[in-house]
Amino acid sequence: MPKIIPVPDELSKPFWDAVNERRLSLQRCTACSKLQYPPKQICQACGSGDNLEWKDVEGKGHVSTYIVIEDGRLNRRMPDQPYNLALITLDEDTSVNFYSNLPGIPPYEVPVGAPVKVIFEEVGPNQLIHEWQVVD
Amino acid sequence: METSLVGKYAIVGVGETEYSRSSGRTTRAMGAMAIQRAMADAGLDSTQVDGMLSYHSGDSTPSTSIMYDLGLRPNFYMDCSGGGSSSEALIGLAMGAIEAGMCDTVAIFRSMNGYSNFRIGGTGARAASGISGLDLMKRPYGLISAVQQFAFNFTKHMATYGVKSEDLAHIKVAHSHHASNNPKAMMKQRVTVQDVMDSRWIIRPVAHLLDCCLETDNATCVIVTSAERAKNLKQTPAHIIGVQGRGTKPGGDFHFQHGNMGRVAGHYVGPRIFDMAGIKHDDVDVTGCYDAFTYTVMLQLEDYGWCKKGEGKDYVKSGAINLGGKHPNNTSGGHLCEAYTHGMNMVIENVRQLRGTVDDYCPKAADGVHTYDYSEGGCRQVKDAEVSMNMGWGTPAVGSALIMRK
Repeated sequence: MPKIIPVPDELSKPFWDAVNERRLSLQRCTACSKLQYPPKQICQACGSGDNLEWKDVEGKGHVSTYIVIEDGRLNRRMPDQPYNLALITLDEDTSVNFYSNLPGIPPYEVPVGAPVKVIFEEVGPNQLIHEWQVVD
Repeated sequence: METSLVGKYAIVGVGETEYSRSSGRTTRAMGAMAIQRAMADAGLDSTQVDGMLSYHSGDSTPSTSIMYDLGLRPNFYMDCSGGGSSSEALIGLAMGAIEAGMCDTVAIFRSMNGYSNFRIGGTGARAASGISGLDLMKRPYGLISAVQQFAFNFTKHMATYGVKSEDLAHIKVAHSHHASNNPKAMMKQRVTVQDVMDSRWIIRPVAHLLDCCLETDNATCVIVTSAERAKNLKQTPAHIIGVQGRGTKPGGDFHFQHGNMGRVAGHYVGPRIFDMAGIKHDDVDVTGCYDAFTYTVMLQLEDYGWCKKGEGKDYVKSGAINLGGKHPNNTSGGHLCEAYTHGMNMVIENVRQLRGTVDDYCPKAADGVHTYDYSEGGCRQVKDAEVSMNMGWGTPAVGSALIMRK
């Protein structure tokens, strides 16, 4: 699947830098200990502005829910249709979710509730992207 | 919420262009026409409209161009960036501008070649543009259009409450019956649940083709002025007794991290507007609930409290949302069947409902004479409509509402 190549902005650059080193790193608030994704300026849980650090997480989760894109108009992805688009909930903090195409899982056969682990796909020169793979 | 503005302002004129998929005209020409028609509807001349508001997604023509086409000289104008749920919010802003003494009468317009030029789904040039901000976390996975981005809010809801795609189809069926009595509607044929289920999937399991709105070329306009001035104008005024928006829920990124995913902005907007208007659900005779997709209707109807959370699937089958029911919804056919206007046509319809002069197939509809026979090709006027409510949807996280009284 030819995914779109991300161009990081100020807030997300540390996240994508970590992804390029095959690490999943999220903002963590040292005041309230909550994880946060996507990156934001302040902690959305406690409102603390100066206590966000970057923390590597284990990269284990579960399939929460999913849709199948049957007829979309994103030119680059149209040849892939139909494709799965799942929501992944992180085990380490179940309020954190990610999107995934679940590589290796045929359309419509998404095992809701199944455990997944983070993997990294190359989408361009020196640019990886985080993906999720169902584990047995 | 104390406010002295309840009932102090009114919508006095409404107008729209033809709804089509090939306007062959500029958003400038269409915008001017919609305003012109709304002014004629209200009985206002070009010296009497001194305020303009519009909203756009980079796809319209600025007020500065259109005002001079029409010979207007505004004391106030503003063009706002915004999509669905802007209609209701701008009506509140118009009231504010008048209350502040900045102008007396405001024409609010939306003009868009939503099918022939700039399609909301993000096709063509837009799909190839650079990605930034939150898009960075979703576009790479092929998540871009509105129907896709909002879908997870509903799949979660389906799983929690056992809702099926068939349940959603009843919304399309109701709106199609209403549209069959609307000469302006782009899709007038009545459809069945089976028709919806047989149409092709756009997103499984939340949206068949017939669960999605009709991309449309059009311009629309509503005119707001004081109830005092309205007394001297042509139409029965639709008094504004409640307005809210664009209200938000925490964590506008919909899915990543914000608690109850099936909850939408109406959960926050609803209590505020009912409190402001001082009415209850049962006082409302006709509703307009933003139907970008059938599931946006179900989520909003629940979170605005027309039924309990999770009972939307029964509510939409109960007959309540149909003409002749307790709270008929989108009596023009709405976005699903009349036209996609970014929210404006549902406001326009409710203004006409309160006037009692909905433009259905009744021969003397313009004089307020209706048969109340809601069979195909007949009437769509709600009998003795006194109070209407609009529920605008921007995203699962953004919404506005409007309550009007005759």
